[in-house]
Amino acid sequence: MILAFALLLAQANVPRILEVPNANATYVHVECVACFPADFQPEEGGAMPLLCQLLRDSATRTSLRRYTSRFAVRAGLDNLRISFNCALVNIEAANHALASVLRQRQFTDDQIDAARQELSGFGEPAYKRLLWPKLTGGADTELLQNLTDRLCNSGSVVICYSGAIPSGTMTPIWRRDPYGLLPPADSGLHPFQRSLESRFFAGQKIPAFISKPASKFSPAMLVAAACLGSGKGSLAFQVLREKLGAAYTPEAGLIGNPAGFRLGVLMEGLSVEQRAALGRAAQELKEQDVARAKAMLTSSMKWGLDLFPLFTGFDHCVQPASLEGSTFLYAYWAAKNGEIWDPNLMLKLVEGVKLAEVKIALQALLGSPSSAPRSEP
Amino acid sequence: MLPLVALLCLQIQPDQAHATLPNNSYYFVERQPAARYESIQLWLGNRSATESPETHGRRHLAEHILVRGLDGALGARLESHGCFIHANTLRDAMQFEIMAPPSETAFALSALKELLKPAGATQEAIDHEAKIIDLEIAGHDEDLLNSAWEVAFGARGLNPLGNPEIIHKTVPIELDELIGRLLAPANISVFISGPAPIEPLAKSLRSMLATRADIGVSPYAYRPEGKPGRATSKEFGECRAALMGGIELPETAALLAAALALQSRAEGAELVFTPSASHGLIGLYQTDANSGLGMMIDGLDANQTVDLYPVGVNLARSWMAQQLANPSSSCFLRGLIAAQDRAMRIETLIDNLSSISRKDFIAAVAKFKTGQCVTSVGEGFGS
Repeated sequence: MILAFALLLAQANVPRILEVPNANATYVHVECVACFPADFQPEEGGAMPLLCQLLRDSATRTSLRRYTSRFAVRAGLDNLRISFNCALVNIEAANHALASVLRQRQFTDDQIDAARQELSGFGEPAYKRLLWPKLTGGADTELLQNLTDRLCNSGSVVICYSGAIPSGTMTPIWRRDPYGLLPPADSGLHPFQRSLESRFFAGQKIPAFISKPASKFSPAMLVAAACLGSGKGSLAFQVLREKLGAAYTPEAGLIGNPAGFRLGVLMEGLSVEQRAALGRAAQELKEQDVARAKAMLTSSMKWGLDLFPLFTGFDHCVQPASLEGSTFLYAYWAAKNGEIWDPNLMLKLVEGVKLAEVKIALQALLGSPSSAPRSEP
Repeated sequence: MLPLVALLCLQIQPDQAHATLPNNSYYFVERQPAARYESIQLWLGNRSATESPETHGRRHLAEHILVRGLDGALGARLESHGCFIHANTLRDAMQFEIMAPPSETAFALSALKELLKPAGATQEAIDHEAKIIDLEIAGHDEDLLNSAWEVAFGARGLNPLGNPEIIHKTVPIELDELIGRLLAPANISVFISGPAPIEPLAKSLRSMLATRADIGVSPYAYRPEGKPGRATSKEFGECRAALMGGIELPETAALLAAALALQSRAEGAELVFTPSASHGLIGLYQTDANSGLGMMIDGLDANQTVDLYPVGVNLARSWMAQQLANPSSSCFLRGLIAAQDRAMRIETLIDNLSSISRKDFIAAVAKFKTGQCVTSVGEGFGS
């Protein structure tokens, strides 16, 4: 695969663009990602399903769907994600429509009512319901406008194009598009901008043990996440399924959060005793467990096997070597950390992680053997 | 024996080879130079091992026991080499897939050998896996489709997960006897797809598979034609499934095109197409919305259906090309068919996809409509 990047970081009012051309591809895969700001509030999380539906409706009005396939707007744990496939011949029209969707700020009461109506028949995954309570009073136009201001701006949005694109063509398309300039990031205060003490998951029944506080990404966290949740040799599988018979597929790994990343076990009803058993097993981790985790990470990043332990959405882990997964990861990593996702560099960093570092990272989640297990993270 | 094996080994295309060995086991190897990993799949057919209500779930239990390997830790050992194993019990066959980086193909093949020579089930292992299967059944989310299968085919449409009561009561001798029949060479097919050259892999497989002595098994028991109807499910959502004949029938290609075309009109709908040598179902379902799928399908008029014809045909061809370009899904499609009838080929379906007529397509869409299809609805439907 021909791999070339063009990251234009300082383009005022033009979204950040990444290109991953592939001469063998027959279509273009597009991932448009905006990560939540660190002070993202529960009210905003509650409004995300409605905002996604409004953006879907907007995509229908602007003909974005006509030029694309597999179009989706998703609210993740720490990101808004718009993705689609497109033939190269339609990419300019699709970009124009995407720009129009991203510039959307004013939603009429009728549009909000219609979106709410469309959402009313949907069931939601159990832990999505628990993590993001539905707004009882409903999101008003002001909240939705603030939310779009905070997410759909040129400082937050990163768009990655993978596949059948000639290198260096996407930014010029955005520049010459009359809708291509997105509003800049707004530094002004918003009604929902409060202290960081107001935790994203505050007050909710949490079906998981999630470490606190959220941290900046480190390679040791990634290896710890693979020890914790990737595969049949992982702590979660060995302890929660094999020893305790508590879950068929206990999910655990690195979980995106507005303020960074956390390690976590996503299992409803996980008891204090089960968590303590995980903690004991974590303390007994050996070099070969870390080697297994590194082998799993290498396989998922380099060879395209599943089970990469990064959770950014509610549905599944990221698959870093698939076209869709890697395109998302390039856009997400730039939006989240302001850095280019580089699997080769990440593998080198992962290789250097020591057993002691992994244990420290896991301790933040599971506690040390001497400390009493906590029932609430 | 070698000259005979050589005679039996057919080159389908320059980058593919397959053979039925003298003991009736079978292998297929293909090279996909652009693929990153090797998919190594063991498929076990159901000959002499068809499930009945009295044995419902023992195949699933056998799968759980086999995938543990000789020491109960085959999965973790593979992962130390960057490989990953998973297993599936389907109605018509059982699948074990090892995904391996190219450098670890030899290690993955040694794991395959281990799967073919199990140590024997213990009561402790059965009790352990029976509890795990309870958890699996509790969390399973395809109840809509399983209900449709049972309405269409009765006892021949039993869900592959099994009956927990029967699974818990199974004793080692019953399970070992079943595993012995499942591992009869005539039930064994191995499929490998990935970047590695084919001949060394084929040679390894010939040597590995030839050591097993042939034991007689009954012919494959084809499932009789199903019937339309309506089922209810504990799950949220709705499902529309069309009755489908064998993989080689032209109608099956038209049904695949129709299902993909309908899916393109139903946001969020999932398509389940499980190729079968005998009668089966092709289903569309949604679990995140409580209505709309059936109404959309029943509401299509003649013009709208005709409009979907090119959409469906193009989507079906593109879907098939994507499946065959991926080592995992290529082995899945080929393996599932060969586990039932080795004379059948996915290439026949591909040929049929290129000659779907408008009339066939319209007839296929009609098979998803009320009266001809199997409808399955969640208990919360309409509430």
